[in-house]
Amino acid sequence: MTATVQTAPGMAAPVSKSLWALGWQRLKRNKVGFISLWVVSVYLLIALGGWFNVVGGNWLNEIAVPYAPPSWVGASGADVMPADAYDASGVESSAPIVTLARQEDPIGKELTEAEKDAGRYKVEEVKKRESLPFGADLRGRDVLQKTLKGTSTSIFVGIFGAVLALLIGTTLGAVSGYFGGKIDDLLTWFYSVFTSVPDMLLLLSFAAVSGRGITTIIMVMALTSWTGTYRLVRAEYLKLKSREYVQAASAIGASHSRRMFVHILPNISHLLLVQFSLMTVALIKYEAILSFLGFGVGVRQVSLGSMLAEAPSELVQGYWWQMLAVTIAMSILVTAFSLLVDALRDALDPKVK
Amino acid sequence: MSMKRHVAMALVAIGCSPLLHAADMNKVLHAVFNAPETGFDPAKVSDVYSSSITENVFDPLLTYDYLARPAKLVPNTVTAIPQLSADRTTLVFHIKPGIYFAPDPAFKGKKRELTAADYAYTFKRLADPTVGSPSSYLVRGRFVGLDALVAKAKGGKLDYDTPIEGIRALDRYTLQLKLTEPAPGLLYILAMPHLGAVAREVIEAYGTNTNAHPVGTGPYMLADWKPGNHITLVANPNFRKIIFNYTDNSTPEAHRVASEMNGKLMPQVGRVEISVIQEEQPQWLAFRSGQLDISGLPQPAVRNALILDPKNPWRVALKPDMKAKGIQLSRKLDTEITFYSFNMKDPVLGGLGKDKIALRRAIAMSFNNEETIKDIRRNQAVPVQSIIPADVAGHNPGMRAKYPYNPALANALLDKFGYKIGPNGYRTQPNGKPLAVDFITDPSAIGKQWNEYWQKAFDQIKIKVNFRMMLWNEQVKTIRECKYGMAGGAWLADYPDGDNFAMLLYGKNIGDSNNACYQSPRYDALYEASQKLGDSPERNRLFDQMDKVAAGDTPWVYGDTRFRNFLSQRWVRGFVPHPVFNVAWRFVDIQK
Repeated sequence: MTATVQTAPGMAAPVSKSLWALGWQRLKRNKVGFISLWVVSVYLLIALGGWFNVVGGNWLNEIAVPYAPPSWVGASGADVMPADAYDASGVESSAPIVTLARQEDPIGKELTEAEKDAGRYKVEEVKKRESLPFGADLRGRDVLQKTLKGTSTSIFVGIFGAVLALLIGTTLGAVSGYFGGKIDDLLTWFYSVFTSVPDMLLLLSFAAVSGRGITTIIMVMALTSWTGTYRLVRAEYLKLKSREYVQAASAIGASHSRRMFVHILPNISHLLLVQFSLMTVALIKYEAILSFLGFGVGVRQVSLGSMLAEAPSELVQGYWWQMLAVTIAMSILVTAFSLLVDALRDALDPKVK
Repeated sequence: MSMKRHVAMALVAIGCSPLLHAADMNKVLHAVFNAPETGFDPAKVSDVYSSSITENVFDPLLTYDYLARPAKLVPNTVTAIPQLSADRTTLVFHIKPGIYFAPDPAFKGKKRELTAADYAYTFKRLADPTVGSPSSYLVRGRFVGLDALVAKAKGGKLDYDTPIEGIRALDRYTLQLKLTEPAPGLLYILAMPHLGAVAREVIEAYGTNTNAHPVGTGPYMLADWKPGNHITLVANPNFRKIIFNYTDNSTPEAHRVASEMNGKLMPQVGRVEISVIQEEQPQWLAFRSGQLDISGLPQPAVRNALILDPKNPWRVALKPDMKAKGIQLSRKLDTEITFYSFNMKDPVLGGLGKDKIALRRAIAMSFNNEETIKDIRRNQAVPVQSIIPADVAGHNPGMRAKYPYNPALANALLDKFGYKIGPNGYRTQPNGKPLAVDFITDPSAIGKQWNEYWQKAFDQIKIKVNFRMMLWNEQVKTIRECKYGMAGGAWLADYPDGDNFAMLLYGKNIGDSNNACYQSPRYDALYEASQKLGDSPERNRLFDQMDKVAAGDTPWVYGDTRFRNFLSQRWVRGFVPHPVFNVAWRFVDIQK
């Protein structure tokens, strides 16, 4: 166990390798983990591209007819209307047309004047395409673009939610575990209150009172999912604060904050990395659930969850392509991320040689 | 005239006959609601779902013929539709003896007969300030002495025992109504489920919990209620004998119903199980698997179930696989209008100033209704062109009150009134303050679809919109309190008369059914004048003017009128959609 102390970052010994170097070596040996790492990297690139609108930036454009099918799907034969079709039509009315004349309209004069300036706002009609590589949604938007943008949003929410939650959990956990006593009691009590409410319920209640949009989702998820990290970090600090190296630091006059964050924190950083990855996966899934229930991203944003929310009514009509695209994107992402977390945990475990 | 002879009395009440079978408790009809009901006190509810229950539990004085189109009034608990007195203000009803309330502990084991006093109590109760009825507009100001009685109550308890001239029980079976002024819509109002007779001892026994204890004289009674989830109705054992005897053979549908139902007792179905299914997909799957007997065809399932004629929305056919299963399709254009109301009391959107009108008009012109009809409604709707929809007395088929889709003009109009585009790309108010529209919507998947189209509309005219999510029953409350910016609404005819729609914008109905909180002296004066007239060309002219005033002031964005496609399983008999009744449960039979 003393190995961790000697190989803490910043104390690089020329002979023995650091935990991180060892971990990297072990990860490379793990084939599944390594492939997952590549897959996740590709996703992260897509996400980065999405944030800077390089990828999927045009997803809002209505470029095709509603529900245009994927180009690789053969067109289905049109249904033929039988002769005995139900006809409820009434007789076309011959009543004279009555409209609100300009002189009766309270803003009629202004409308007539405005008509002259309306030309400035004329928008060119775009020719809508009949099919797209991965089909279109209700408004004729490209499902592929939408999926890329949605993936990007989901990863953004997952990563930043996890960072924030990690920050809250680590800070509170460190303070609680390091100082102990009254502060520990208070924070542990606070933690218990949070964990006593089921996760999903807490998430939904937070989401219901705050508005919509990506930032609120990130805040809401960070505020509800810091508890796991808190417990972990607190336990580590309880264990590590009485170690010799911390006592040594104290002996040379290091302040509390220096001992907490410069001496102890690096020694649990591998745990935090695993915790971060785990949380990212969980939050990507939470975001999907929130969006599916209508509490997620706003009308103008798209995420994998909001796309899934559209799927039920589409499937009933036989438009399966959006569902398929999201399912593929999401399942690969979550599986790869989970496998990577597994591999990381194995690779960074100091007990494994 | 020949039409009238066809539509002879549809329902005839006669004495006992050993050959007739009463409601079979083993016959269970499974039905569905798309939104949660709010309760079953006819005075306290006004939504379609709750009224679907109250119309089966309570008996108003008059009702409608099941088959006649357009809908025709027939006597229900009275011997005949009364003739107006010479001054057109007095009506006398003779209640049929031998009509009994459903059993309830409040009657202490005795069989309780329906009397004229019950109706007098019911009508006064609608105006009772402590009840806070959303339907109070139906009686307020109509009956001599009622408003004075309400004023005397001063927000406290209404004194039901003080006789008033307007609503009087002359004897056990005779009810006399005296109107403050002639009101031709009154007979329709008297057929509404909100005016179905309640028993005073029941209402007093259950106090504030009357919503959970509906006790009436109708064909069904409430057996079980899980709010917002499931409702069970069972046949009322005390229900009077009514034998189906349809003589109308004018349409194939009427002919089918007559041949299926004639000679049977009402109701045939012993139990009605109603599930609340809010999402459309599970509802559709439930119908396909036979778990629902009658169901509306949800919009997303239209493509699965129907073959459509893209040129003629009136022509449809069932898909062959549905036809093979014996599923029956019934279809009609709803007597409804949908609209998006602006809150006319909202500081940003409301008011009758020209700049506010222009803002509302611009929003209305930026919403592409044709597109939503095509995409979301799957061509199963026609645009609303007037406050009064088709098949309603007073409808003008030539009215074109809708503002044509024209975002370019909308933008130019906003420029004209000084709604400048700010540095953030959004328009500001003419006084330079930020402009944001508060839009109430529900969190369902279909709600999100509409929001996307609205977002697009607002983007086109560069106005910021904030969607506020709330469930439907919360929406109703917020809208009634005029604490919103914009919200969607729909109004289904309570009775097939233009008055029922024109009153949606009447100033005195703010807090009841005037969603837009719209108050215009011009409109109100026209409405009050129209109330004095019967269905006539003079009244139609007033309706046309009201349409124009409303189109000018723009309290609404006109929506669409939907076709309603009903599917019923092979074993359902006698089903036909009715323009006024919410549901047809009491008129159908099941033969598996």
